[in-house]
Amino acid sequence: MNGAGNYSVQPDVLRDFAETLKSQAMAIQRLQDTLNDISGSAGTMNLFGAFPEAASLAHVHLNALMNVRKLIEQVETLYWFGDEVASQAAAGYQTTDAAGRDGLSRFTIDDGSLVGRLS
Amino acid sequence: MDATTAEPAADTTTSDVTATDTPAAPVAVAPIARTDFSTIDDSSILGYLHAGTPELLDQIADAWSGLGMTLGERGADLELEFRRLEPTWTGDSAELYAESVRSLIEATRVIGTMSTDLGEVVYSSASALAQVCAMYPAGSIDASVSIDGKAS
Repeated sequence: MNGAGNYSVQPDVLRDFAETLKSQAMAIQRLQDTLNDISGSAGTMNLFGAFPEAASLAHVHLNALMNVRKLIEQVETLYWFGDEVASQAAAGYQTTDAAGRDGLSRFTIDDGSLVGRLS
Repeated sequence: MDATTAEPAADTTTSDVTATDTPAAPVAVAPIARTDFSTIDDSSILGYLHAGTPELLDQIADAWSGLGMTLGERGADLELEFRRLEPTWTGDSAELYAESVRSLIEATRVIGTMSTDLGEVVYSSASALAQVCAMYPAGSIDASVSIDGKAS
């Protein structure tokens, strides 16, 4: 089962892992919403005062929020992908395709990163 | 903003990290401004100062610190769960998925540290701002006298 071109997976274990990712995405999202609510209500750029130095700090805050957003997106992608694979495997998906490749290779992987899309 | 010059930012707090990027790759940050305060009148400086909201900054610092703690805990949980998953799934897709998960775990750690550090920076900024606002309440400065006491 584990030779080249084959795959093995335990759907329940993978689904548990995917649920961990989902829970993580939701927890981070809640905290990011809190940050957005607080800073958004006050007009972020003047939070630290109206000095140019203060605007630089506000930019650091906003950049950090963007990084958190990207992290959430990546967690969500890996959740979706893992959940899909678990579902397919649980439904008895073939271990190899007609060309003898890993039967899950149709799950699209672009540029070395998972994009969470089915072909 | 005429009275400012710019220097390259030394701060790498805002590492641009996703699960598919190199975790520690720094993102371009706007240059840190350096104001020449000698060219700004005192009443304007007072206005700049009181535009800030230290009480909201405290809340933001709390939120960043909370996020840092949550990411630390969640990252550790994810690593444990992944150790359970890894031996149960083999194949080409599994290898690529595992690579992305490892990057995600590292990104979670890096952004968690960034959040904690940012919380500290915002706490310090809030404290400094509150202290100076208390020293110089709004309307407290006679426009004819500078902060150092010299007549202008």
